[in-house]
Amino acid sequence: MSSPYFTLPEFRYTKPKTIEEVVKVLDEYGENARILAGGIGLISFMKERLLSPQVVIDIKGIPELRRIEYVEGNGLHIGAAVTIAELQGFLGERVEIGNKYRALSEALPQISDSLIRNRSTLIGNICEALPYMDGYPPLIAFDAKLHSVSVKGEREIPVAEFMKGLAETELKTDEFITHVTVPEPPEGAVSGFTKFSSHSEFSATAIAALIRWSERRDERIARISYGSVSDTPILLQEAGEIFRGEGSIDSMIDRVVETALSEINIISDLYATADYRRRLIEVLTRRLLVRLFKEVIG
Amino acid sequence: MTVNGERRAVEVKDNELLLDVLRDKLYVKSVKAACWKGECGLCTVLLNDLPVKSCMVLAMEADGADVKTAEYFIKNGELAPVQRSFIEHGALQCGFCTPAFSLAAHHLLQRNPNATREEIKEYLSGIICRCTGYKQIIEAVEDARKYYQK
Repeated sequence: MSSPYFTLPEFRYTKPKTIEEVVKVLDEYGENARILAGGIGLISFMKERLLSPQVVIDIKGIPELRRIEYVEGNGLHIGAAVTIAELQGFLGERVEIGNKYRALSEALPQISDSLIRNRSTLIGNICEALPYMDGYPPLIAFDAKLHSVSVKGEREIPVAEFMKGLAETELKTDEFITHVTVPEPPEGAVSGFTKFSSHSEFSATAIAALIRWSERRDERIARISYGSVSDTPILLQEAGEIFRGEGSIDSMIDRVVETALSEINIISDLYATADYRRRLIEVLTRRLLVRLFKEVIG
Repeated sequence: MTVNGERRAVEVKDNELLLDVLRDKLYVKSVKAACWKGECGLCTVLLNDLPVKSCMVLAMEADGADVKTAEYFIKNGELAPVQRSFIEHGALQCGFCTPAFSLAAHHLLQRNPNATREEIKEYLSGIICRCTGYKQIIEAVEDARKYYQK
């Protein structure tokens, strides 16, 4: 068949063995070259003719991009070619690390389905840059950093600043992401992820939170991130201030909900109306924060 | 690539999908083409022993790889345990989704012969059956666990 949706536009496939070779092709072709890791995003976009690159660069032959590593004190390193299933396996087999990055451990099995996760990558999820990508909230809660490379050199981009709009990112056409680093969570912090989706695998609302509670107010940390509720994923900047302020935990949770509802520019789309999302934000925020506070103060 | 244990050489274009090459050039017809969007799961194959949706894989990505489909598990005319279990439980009506379900289930039970009902449901959730509902399919896989527990 030659109609779109069933076929791909013509391109040249290449599978380099080093990062230097990838960077060279990107420098020559710019936006006419696209990176292929799991292919879930790229192949879908090509079938719909949203993308018609001249060159497709398969990065799965580069050993360093397949690396997953945890170094005490430094945190997690996840290569661009690591599949979500491999990452699930890594965190699942190492209970202590899996618990340390609980929000991520909880999000991964909720991304798409197990057969797709055997192929798709966490960094591909981020680079696809749709508002519904569930990789964003947990990575933002942990303040993860993307590492990109081009002929000009390397740079670091916080996940929270990466997505600029629908399928638009901070990435220049001559660079690509090699890995993401997820820093060691603050001592004593707990985290979690929850989402709601209906009629679709795309979330209607997703939330990840990292909380460190302490009697000393200046030691309290709260990073709360929402996905699927606005054009780009959101880090709720005010959450830390709210928890460092006065009042009972219940009243703090109330204020987080109020702030989320007033600060986020909530969208209506195929998956949910803005009004429905407002209710989901309230319910999911309370549910997640109550669960996390039970963990830290019993 | 190696397809069902046999080395096969085939000329493909850079933009061809593994699904289309398997069906149209290598005549492996148990791999079904339905949605071409990675949603229905009916084109599932074992790529280097991992179940993946072959409509989301370029044929070029499978260069040199090992590909197994439902045909692989028929040995001397005998079906694999999980395939037999599908028959015993009447876990099919039209049969279109059966190759995909049995491949994914075979992989799951090989890796985890004690998979719970919930784990089975979760693992197979990326494959769609439009005839039976999923009750008999899940029961067939649950019942097949005993053949994989050694």
